[in-house]
Amino acid sequence: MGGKGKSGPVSTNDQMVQMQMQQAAEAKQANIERSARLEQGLSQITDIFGGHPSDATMLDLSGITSGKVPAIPAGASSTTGTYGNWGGGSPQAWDDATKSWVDVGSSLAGGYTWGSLPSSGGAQQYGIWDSSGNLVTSAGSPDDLAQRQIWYGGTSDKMVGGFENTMYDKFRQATLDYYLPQETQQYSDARSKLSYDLARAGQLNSSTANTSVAQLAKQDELNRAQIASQADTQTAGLRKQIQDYQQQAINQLYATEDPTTAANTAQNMVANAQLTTPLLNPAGAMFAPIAVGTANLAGALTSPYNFSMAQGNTTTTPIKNPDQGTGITGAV
Amino acid sequence: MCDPLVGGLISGGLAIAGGMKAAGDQQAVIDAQNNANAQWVAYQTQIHQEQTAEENKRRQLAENARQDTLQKVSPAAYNQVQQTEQQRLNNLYLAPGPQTHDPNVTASVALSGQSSDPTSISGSDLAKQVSAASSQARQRIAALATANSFGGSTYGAGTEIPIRFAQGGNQINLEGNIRNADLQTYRTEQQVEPEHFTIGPGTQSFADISKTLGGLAGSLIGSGISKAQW
Repeated sequence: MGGKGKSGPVSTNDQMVQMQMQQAAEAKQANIERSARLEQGLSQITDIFGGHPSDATMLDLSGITSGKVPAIPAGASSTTGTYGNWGGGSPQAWDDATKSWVDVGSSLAGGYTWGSLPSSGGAQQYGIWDSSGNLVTSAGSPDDLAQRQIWYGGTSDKMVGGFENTMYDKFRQATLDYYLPQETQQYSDARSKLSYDLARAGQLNSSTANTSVAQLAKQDELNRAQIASQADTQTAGLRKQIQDYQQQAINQLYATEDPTTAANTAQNMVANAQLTTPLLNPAGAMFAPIAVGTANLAGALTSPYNFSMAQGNTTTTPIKNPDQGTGITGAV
Repeated sequence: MCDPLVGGLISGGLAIAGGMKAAGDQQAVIDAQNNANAQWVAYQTQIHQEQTAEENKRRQLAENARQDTLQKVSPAAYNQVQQTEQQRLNNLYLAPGPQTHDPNVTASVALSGQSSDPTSISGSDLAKQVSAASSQARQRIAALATANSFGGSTYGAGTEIPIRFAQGGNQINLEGNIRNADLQTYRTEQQVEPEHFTIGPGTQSFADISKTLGGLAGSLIGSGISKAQW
């Protein structure tokens, strides 16, 4: 907002406006970083719980260390506007010394880069950009940044990692392994008892025996199916539980990256910086001095009391005609 | 004592010069203010356009997630989930573990001392009855698998569809959260006020002096003219 080319003694709120713009830019940068962390956080949670494509690659961040922070032009880190090319390629900053844009990112695998971020009002932050120049995540130190887990690439439908189906199969099988032997034992006992009962009744080779044996076999199959059904329903409960855990992790992510607190802080910073600025004088006041002179001249010419001045009245203020008014016609 | 008319003319000249100087300074201030206002309007327009673009982008991503979710819970997708699960459950229920008996072999269910020879009358009857019982059991098991595939089995529709809604909702919530934060940041940017210029005390003093000189010039010239007429 800096109006230039003004002359003469004037006062402005230029410094305050510059500060407001700086704080607004920092708030915006902080929001960009927050959005990146939020997206990365959700992606990480999804990876942890749902896995990632089997042919994806984890980004090697071993090159990110405190001793290898990419250099940036002096002053560029504290001014958001001096960073550019966010929409594509490696991030760049304006070097005022050479009057040119210079790369400020250090290369990582997969077209990723890392480096220092523009000021967001606090301590220096560091970030990772993808091959399109989009900020992927940020951290307060290179060492913290190096701890991030970022998977990239991968087009396979097969997901690995996370809670895979084999885990649910294992749970279901464990449930079956607990209940089925009991059912088997009870079936064996029931068949023995039926055998003894039919033998005692002399009906071992009768149609009644056949019917009873068939009913027992049918009951056995239904019981086993019922156990399998219950085991699978319990496995579904486990799957829902895992889903709840994922939602809890996401809720924690949102609690960590609460936008309200950060935005309110920025809003208050800008709002408190506002000044009560005096209004400009109306343009009509510019000609008030001339108007006063003209009125006085006209008044002097038409006043019947002018003669008194010529007769020895030395005061410069003529005796007023009650009908003459103040003589001031312009606005003050 | 000099002639009041001459003094008036000198004062008038100084008043006009001072007035012009003050007017020039004030015009410069007005120009600077107009320039600052134009820059402020440009800034507000720029952040508005950026906010609108970002808002549209995020809204579109949320809309994409919603449409994707809608496809994943559509009747066709629901039927696919249910039928796949029905098949899986049917296989699971029929063979949940090592077989207690082979329902296709009558001998495996025959009691000790009971004939299971399908060529004998008793064995043939036993084989028929076991086969019929097994068939009935399988029908019931298939019905159970079908019913459970709609409900809360591991990958049943009652389990899978809510998960798909939750996953789609996570993406929509993410975009909504970012939109909310973007909007609050935009409001912060909107609070940046235009630069205000105001005439400094020097210019105002100059104008005041000029004003006084103008008054003095008027009086002196008037007095001079009167004296000349007299």
